[in-house]
Amino acid sequence: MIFSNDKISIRQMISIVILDVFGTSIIVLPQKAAILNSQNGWLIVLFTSLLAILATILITTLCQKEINLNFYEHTKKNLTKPIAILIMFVFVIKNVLIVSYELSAFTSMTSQILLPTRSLVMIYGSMIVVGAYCAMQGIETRARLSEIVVFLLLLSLLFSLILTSIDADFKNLLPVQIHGDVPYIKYSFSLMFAFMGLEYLYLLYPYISDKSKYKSGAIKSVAILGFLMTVITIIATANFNYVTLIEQRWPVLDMISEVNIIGAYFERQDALIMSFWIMGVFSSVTAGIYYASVIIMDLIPKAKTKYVISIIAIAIFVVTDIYMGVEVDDAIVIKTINGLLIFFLFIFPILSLSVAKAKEMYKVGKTQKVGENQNVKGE
Amino acid sequence: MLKVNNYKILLLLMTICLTLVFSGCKRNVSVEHRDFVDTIGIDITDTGNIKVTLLIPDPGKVSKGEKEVNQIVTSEATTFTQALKNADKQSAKKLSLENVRIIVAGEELAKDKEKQAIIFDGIKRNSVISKRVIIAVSKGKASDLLNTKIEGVQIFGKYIVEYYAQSPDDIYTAYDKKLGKLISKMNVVQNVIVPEISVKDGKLLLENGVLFKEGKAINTFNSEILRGYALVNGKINNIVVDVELDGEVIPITIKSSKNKVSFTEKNGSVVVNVKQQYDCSLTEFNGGVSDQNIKKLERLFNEEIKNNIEESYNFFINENNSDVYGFEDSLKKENFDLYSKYTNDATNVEFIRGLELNVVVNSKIISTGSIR
Repeated sequence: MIFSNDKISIRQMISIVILDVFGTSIIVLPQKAAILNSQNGWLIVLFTSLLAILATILITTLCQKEINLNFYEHTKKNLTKPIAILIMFVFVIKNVLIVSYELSAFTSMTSQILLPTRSLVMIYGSMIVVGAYCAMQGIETRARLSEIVVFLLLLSLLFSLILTSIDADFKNLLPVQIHGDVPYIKYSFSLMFAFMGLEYLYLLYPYISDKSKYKSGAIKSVAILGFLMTVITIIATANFNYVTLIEQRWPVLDMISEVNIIGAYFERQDALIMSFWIMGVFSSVTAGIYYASVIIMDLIPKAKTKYVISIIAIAIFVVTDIYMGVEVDDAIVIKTINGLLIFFLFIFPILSLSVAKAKEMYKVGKTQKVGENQNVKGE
Repeated sequence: MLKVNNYKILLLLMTICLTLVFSGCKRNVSVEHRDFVDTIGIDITDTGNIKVTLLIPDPGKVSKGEKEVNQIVTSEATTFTQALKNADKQSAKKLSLENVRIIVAGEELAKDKEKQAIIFDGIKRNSVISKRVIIAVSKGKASDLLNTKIEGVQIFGKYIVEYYAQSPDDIYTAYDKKLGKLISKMNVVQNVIVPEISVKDGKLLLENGVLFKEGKAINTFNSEILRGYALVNGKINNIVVDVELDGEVIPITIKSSKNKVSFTEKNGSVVVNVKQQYDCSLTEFNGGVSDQNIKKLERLFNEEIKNNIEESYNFFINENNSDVYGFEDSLKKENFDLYSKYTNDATNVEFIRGLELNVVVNSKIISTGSIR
């Protein structure tokens, strides 16, 4: 892969998507699901995963429609230049918001578990610096890194889940109730924040070497993520019972901290899983910075990458600092991110595809009309 | 020849700087300058303060096999966190709570709902204390227990943890003793049972329990009650049940067990059906092992188990109005309609007191040992 510049394989793409999405959201998801639908919260997660697959189909269909155009170019083509610039601007802001949210959550957790005496600025500052440096190296470096990290992450997670499920009481998932009182679709949309990072599929497309397999590869990665999220929610609910789960801010970490591995060298497994999870957050930070820089470079082709990345990194630093310094309501932040995600995952692709289709139909109609006129003239 | 440009040298220097500065080790204290707390005892003093007693084993003395290995630090304050801070100031070394194995609450504290809730919250929120720490209650003051010399016990917390770990299928599994699980159960059924630790004639007693209801200790019970409870929960194997046949006490060992709790409705009340199936072995029987005797022993065993379960049920449900079994929660999970029917107009106490118990025990002696 190192020889084909700026191109990545489908396998690498799957790893990148998994790592980009795998962040703070998975750690808090079981609690949010339990708040919405008590012991049946996993059903909401399952529906959310299905919605994410639907979003993936929409995004990849849109990308494959304009095979040679990037995100900005096909938006410009379908929705005019001013709207495209506005959308790109919103996308960059969304990235800054998401990365800052991830970093603030990560920092507060790290300071509690791993680095209690370290200044918080040092923690998120170092993450941003390293993330920005990695983003400067380009997509291929990210792809090669993801290929290795994804296995470390998923294997450690699966191992921990198997161990936690041994002690879990699966009766805590009962009674399974599917009834009309629960607004499943509304709740599923409200958990879409779990899939933040999925919208990067728009920007990943130009780098794929085999574009024909893009859709199936993307669906595969989202299915893996959806499966993992559902399993994590099931095991967390079985472990704690939804009543306790609702009270826990980081249930997945709490769950793993209770694992007792007989004869294990480490007494505290939460620190172990934390170290693997750092890689997931690190990847999300890198992705946020990288894709924001890609958009800005598309808008301003003459700008220098390292300066663009530096400005984005500074913006993320400032927003994270505001998050950490001011009491920001977590629910409002999640709602804002969720709203932006719903726009980019559903509204935007549907709108773009509809406009493209309408334009196509108009073009066909116009051609037919011209043809008919010519026929009439000929006669 | 290896070429190194300025950029790479800068990168290397940056990496070294970052490693040193961002490692989080600025205030690192090396192991030899730390005191690793093994046990925390918590009491309420006469003035209403919180008193903590910390048991700190000296690894050097432990490795030399000395008898006196523990340093005891005590401190008092109005809050648990402040008491720990004061204890840290008293100790020459930095106190580390990462390795705390057991937290013992004094009897008086266990009965004080408000004080206990605050301390328990402090323990839950402490990110350093493991979620797997054992919570127990002492008979009398926790400080007295930790200051008592106990036969065969070198490091108190380590001894207790190993004691329970070596009995993986014994009745002690019925205790809600680990912090994480305790919190979960307290949230759901609000009734938990934790170990009671006491010392008698210089020896540790670990078989009794304390019943907690809605956040405070309301009663204590012995190992017979604990066994009856453990039998319903179906967690135990390998325990010995004594039955009396023709004036002779015969020990029967449970090899494996199957347990099922179900709910039915009968004459306007909910019946809890506890169905038990045991495979047992007979290893000490000074008489003829005839088929007739085996049948008799099986019947006696069944009666003993049934009585034990009923005695335990009577203690928890009828005497203490305490649903430690989590029957209400189980019914909700298994038969939601029946649950709704009987809990809509009834309080928790009315519901559990209205339950009827139906115990069916079947056993089979599958082995009579071998004579060599």
